[in-house]
Amino acid sequence: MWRYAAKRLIETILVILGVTFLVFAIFHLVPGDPITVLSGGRTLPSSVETNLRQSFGLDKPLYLQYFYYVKNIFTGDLGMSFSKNRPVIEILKETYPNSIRLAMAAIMIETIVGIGVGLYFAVRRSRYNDAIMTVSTSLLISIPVFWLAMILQQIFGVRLKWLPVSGMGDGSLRYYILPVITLSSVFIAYVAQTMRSNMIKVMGEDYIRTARASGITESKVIRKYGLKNAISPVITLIGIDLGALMGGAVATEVIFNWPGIGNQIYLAILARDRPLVMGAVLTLVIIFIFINFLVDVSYSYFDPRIRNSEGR
Amino acid sequence: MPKSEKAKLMGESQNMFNNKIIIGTVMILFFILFSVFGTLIGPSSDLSQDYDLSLKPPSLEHPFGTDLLGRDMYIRAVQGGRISLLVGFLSIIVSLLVGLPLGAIAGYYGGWIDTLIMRSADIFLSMPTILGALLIMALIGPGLINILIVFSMLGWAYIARLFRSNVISIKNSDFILSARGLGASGPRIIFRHIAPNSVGPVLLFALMNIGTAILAESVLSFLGVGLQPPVVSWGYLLSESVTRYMVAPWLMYFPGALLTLTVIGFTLIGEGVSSAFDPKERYE
Repeated sequence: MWRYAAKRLIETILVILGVTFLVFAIFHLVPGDPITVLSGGRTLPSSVETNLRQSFGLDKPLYLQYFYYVKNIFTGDLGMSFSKNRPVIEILKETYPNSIRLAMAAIMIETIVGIGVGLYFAVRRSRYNDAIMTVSTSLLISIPVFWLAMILQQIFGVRLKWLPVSGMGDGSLRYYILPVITLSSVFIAYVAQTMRSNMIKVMGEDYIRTARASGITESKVIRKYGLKNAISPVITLIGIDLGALMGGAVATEVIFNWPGIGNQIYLAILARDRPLVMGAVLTLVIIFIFINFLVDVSYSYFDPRIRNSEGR
Repeated sequence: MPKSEKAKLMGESQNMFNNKIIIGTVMILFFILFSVFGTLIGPSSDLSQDYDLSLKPPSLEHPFGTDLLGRDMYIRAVQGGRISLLVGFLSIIVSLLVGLPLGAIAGYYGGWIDTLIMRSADIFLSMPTILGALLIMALIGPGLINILIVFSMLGWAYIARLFRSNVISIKNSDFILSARGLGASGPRIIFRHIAPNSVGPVLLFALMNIGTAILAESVLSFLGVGLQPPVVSWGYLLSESVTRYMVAPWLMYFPGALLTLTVIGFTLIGEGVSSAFDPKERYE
């Protein structure tokens, strides 16, 4: 267990360093002076420019510049946002909690709805139900989330006027409904699909037949013998999505004007505020990689087969 | 289970998988034809701006309505389809061009070069697609070529990893050893003997991912780091509609529906193919 965790930790650190190196390399490969690239072509006050040159160590050799760059990232110095004239890290601290709230609500909904729907269609099988399942999951997986969001807004916000179209308002439940449906749609489909196909496989096993033969009620067979054995890949899937959602949901936040980090990134792109974009996205990528590491290690705790298999 | 019943089940479900593949293929062919020849069958064929026609809902003359500048949205949707599909196919082709050779080299030669290639692949594999693409696009700027660069940067690693494992699994077969015994060079063995025998599943995997690439492009264009006018895609049309779709929803209904249906086509092919290859699924 600990050996596996240590091995994965080292891998994770190497990958994170690799990502920072990649960003650093692209930043310097883009034609033009790095400061001009950063400022998006606008003229900066000379004091700001000197400051920037110093913090990036642009007068030093490249390997030192990379060292400074990594050091700055890990000490939380992500630079100054041009459009807001504030440190990037402050903006992150302010908006990230709102994104996490949305992500947690989405995880909850996709777990409950996905497992429920998957179970239902696994137990009640018929030609008709199978077709409904295929069509609806393919639709949810293929639909661009931001388009789904626009349609939901059009129906429930503009036409029916039941729910607020955008923003977080006072943070009450009404404001969460449409963004959470949007954000969880794809994984409701994935969870339901996985749950259904696993459940069908498990319900064909010999021990299920034995349980039925010994006179246990069907609902107990499903709950105790079926569900318990079929659910572990579903948990894995939800773990994957946890990482993805913690990395922010840019498109959903933009459409609903949700005051989270994704929306902030979008506004920074529009304002050509490169330090904010680079700092925020890089932080999210690192968080994403790190959460995946935690999820991996926690599986190995629950499922010894993972840590013992060397196959990558 | 009696034999006849099992056979019936198998036949039936296989039939269904084939149906998925057929329906998906027909849908995609339809949208390719629509994008190529759509401008010929529309009622109007020019994109001239006409402020008298600004933001008109769908009509016989303009089946998809008009945009703010009075341009025909049907023509724009057809043009958007060309770019969306082009980005989908091209980004997969470029990923293959980068990923296949690297995967073959890593798998065939092994050793330090294998480690180097696969460790760099890990970096790209662990990046979330949209965020990674956002990060790079924000640095190198929007545009069609840049989108292809970013997608192949993020896509080659999957191809390389898959192809590498296929190469490793057959590189010690007798026919490869005999080719080597006859004095064939490394590249010749890879191209003439290994590749034809192991590239199939990789190409299939790549084909199934075209839909994902089309979706990813639409998100990037929607966020304003994707394409730049005059090159428009369905995603770009949707991003253009953002400020006006509350009053003029047709601006987003049509491009969004076309985009969704095309991606569904690829999803269906993917599902059909993967169930056809999984014998367990057939007994479901």
